[in-house]
Amino acid sequence: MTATNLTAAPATPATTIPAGQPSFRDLVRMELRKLRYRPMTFVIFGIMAALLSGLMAIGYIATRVSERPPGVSLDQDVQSFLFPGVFQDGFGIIGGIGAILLVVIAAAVIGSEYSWGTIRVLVGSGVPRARLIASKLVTVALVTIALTLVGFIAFTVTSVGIAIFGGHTLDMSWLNGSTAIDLLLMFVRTIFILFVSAVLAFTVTVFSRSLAAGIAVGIGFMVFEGIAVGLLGLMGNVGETISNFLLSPNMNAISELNYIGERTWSSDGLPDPWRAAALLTAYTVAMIAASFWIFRRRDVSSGG
Amino acid sequence: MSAQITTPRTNGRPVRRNKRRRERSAEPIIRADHLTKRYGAVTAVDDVSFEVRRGEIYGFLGPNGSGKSTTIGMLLGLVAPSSGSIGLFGKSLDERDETLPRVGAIIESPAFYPYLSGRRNLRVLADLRPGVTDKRIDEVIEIVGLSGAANRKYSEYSLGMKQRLGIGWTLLHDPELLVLDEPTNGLDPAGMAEVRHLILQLASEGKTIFISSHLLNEIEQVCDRVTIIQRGKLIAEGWVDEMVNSEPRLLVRVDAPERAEDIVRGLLQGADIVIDDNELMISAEGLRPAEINAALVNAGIGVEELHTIQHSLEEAFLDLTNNAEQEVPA
Repeated sequence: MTATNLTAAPATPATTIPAGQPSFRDLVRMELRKLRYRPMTFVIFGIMAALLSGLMAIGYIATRVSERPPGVSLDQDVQSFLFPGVFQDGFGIIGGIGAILLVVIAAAVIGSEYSWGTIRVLVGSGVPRARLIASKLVTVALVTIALTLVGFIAFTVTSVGIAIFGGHTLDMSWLNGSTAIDLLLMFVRTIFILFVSAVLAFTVTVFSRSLAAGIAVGIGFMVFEGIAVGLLGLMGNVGETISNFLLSPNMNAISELNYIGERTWSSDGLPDPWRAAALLTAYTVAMIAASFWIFRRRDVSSGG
Repeated sequence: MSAQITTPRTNGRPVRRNKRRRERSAEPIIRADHLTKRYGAVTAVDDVSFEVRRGEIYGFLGPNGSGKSTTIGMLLGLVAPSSGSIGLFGKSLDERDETLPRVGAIIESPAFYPYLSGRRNLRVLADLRPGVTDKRIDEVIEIVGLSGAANRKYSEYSLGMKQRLGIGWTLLHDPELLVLDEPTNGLDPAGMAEVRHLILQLASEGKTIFISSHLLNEIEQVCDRVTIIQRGKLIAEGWVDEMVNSEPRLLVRVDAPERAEDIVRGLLQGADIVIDDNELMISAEGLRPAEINAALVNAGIGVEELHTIQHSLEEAFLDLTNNAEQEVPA
């Protein structure tokens, strides 16, 4: 028996606690505390780091042991695992894996509150609903940044390891003011793309009040949209026009800009990056507005 | 032969003594005015009005599904009323950003983060309550008797421990009004008694307490006034002691029940008398036990026992809800 008797001590504290609203910063801090103490957060960050490092290591080993075309050296063949070529693929993998992982976190940030019933505690405490949901969205944005950073550290460390243990030159001559800005832009683009996926999952969760629905729709959308884009591609111009309004072609249009040095591929068929950025921004703003609208208006309760 | 008039009792259990009516001000802390909530064709709360004044312990009774939690939901801004209004501290629902920080509430059942310990749950949620310190969290943990389990995960808590943590959460910021939805759910009898004492202690410290419960004995023992709702409609509101004292009955054990009945009928016009063996159960307005006792003794009837039997709140509740049930067309 670990619970003891209620004490006869006065329940009123010696000093007065002022009745007031928490600041926005308090709310974000609360959300971050919840994530910090939640094992799922570390599992997801761990998966991100492990998958990135693992995929790179396996890819490197496979490349190393496979036969190369005549005239292609090992150093040329493994450029995508070394600086600066690694950044293209590294951020690409972050965009792919990160989107799935972020869908889970973004849905959990709001969906778990519904599953555990703690949404009643939060809303019933009197915090304005708009402030509450805004703090959750800011938390999702901060997690997006942190996850991208973890991915970046993982593939950078792995790349250094590959260079050292693979007997390659750790070339840093590519790093200058211009490439540093490129690198920063790669960060920003990746975070932006990931945030769109996170907001989609967040919005679905707010609407459905279900963590499972948020995750399922968030991940399902990525899978089925990919299939839809493929099918639309078979329909000619009409299909392409429709496809250009979907999320993934626009995300691809932005992530295709992620490179340092010489660009070795074509972005034919993808929407214009500026148009893509504008469209994704519009979608994100619309989803956030819808989340705010429904969360502020809808009843939070059930029962007798 | 004269029988001693014994302490009143209710069907074998000690009767609730009339409590001294607690000091309270006329200031309304909660005011519900024609409060209504409809979900499509279903009316969950139907034109309910009541008022809770500062310093009261107010009971909110009703069977499951009667609209208690929906009403509390409207009180706490979780559920929007379809019509009518509900205000706190003399302010409207629109000003809840200002009023709700003065309230501590458990809604439906305690809800916390399962992966956190009791202490960390309070630490995390304390961010909703500016000014709450770690010292205050420790104080509250001690008040609710969770010191030994404060570092255990909430998911490992028993229902009783969860309730204690829920009560702790409501106390954290020292609110003026406590809204407790089924606060003793899952507690053992000792735990229930402790919570009752805590509630009485909090009231003595000046808090206003609004308790929703289906445990009538609990309400009867701590509440000053109650509202009873059924199928979303208010069917009674009043002082607990008036409800339990309304139409007390008299049980008389005599050696000549038929003669005793005639004498009692002569004294109390329209009395409802049920004879069971040597016992008379007398229900009537203005029962005068001493007078009945004297009349029976003067008539030479041996009075072996004479008790007033008060209604328990449970009986009053069942009477009221059964009456309301009969009035509602199927």
